[in-house]
Amino acid sequence: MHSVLQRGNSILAYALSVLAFLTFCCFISTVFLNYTTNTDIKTVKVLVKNVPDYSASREKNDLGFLTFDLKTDLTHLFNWNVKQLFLYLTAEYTTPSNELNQVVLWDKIILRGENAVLDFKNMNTKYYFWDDGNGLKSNKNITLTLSWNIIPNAGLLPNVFATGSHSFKFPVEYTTSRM
Amino acid sequence: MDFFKSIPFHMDFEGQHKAERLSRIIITLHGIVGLIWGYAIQQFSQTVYILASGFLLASILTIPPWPMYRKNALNWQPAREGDTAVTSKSKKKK
Repeated sequence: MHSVLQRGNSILAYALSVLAFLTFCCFISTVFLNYTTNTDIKTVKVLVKNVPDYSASREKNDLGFLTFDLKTDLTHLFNWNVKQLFLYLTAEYTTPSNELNQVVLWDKIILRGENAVLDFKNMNTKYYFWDDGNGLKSNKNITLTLSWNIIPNAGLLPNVFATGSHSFKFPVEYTTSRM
Repeated sequence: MDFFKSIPFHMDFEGQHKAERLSRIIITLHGIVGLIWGYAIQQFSQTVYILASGFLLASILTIPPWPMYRKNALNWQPAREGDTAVTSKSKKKK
């Protein structure tokens, strides 16, 4: 009874149980926090082109170009159960062919300890704003929303939508010249 | 080989009880302190490190059979004659 190995085993098992409990406490201490915050998004330059999408069908589809300003302070979102934030900017709009279109235009990872006060001016999008048809030209209501995933040490992976979205419209004419 | 056999590996029953209780107390205390400290500075890694230090401390203090766990050796009765085969052999010799 209770040889060296048995004692080692029981200590390790108990330490791991305590670790699991502490992790659960960490999860409980943050699960009810409110992670929403206000953002300020504006579009600066908006134009739409009608060009072949070689990555898909070679048919001519609408391709939106836009630059945006983004201002927000996410510092208070970080606590001991947040490893990093994954921000992404989504454009949401309706076309005759689709009730709901969602396109991710831009994203950013903010690690804990990095500067979380964002103030971007005239940012280019990271990803192409393709429509699967001709739904962008003269579209009256495109909504830009900033959302983020909170990557925790333990627990849920919440998907938070920031308050303060921005709606804009695309021009009625295609831009034909090279930008 | 004799050298290894001469190392004591066993605790007495009182010692086992003490060792288990001591290890539980050390690890639990480090867990509580780690949780409070980690919450105070909002770093869960510190909580884990403090618990790990508690684990190491408990391992050092309670895994090896230190002399403090071998103080209450059982008082075995001396072997009685006539009980076992060995003693019967010795009887024959007489």
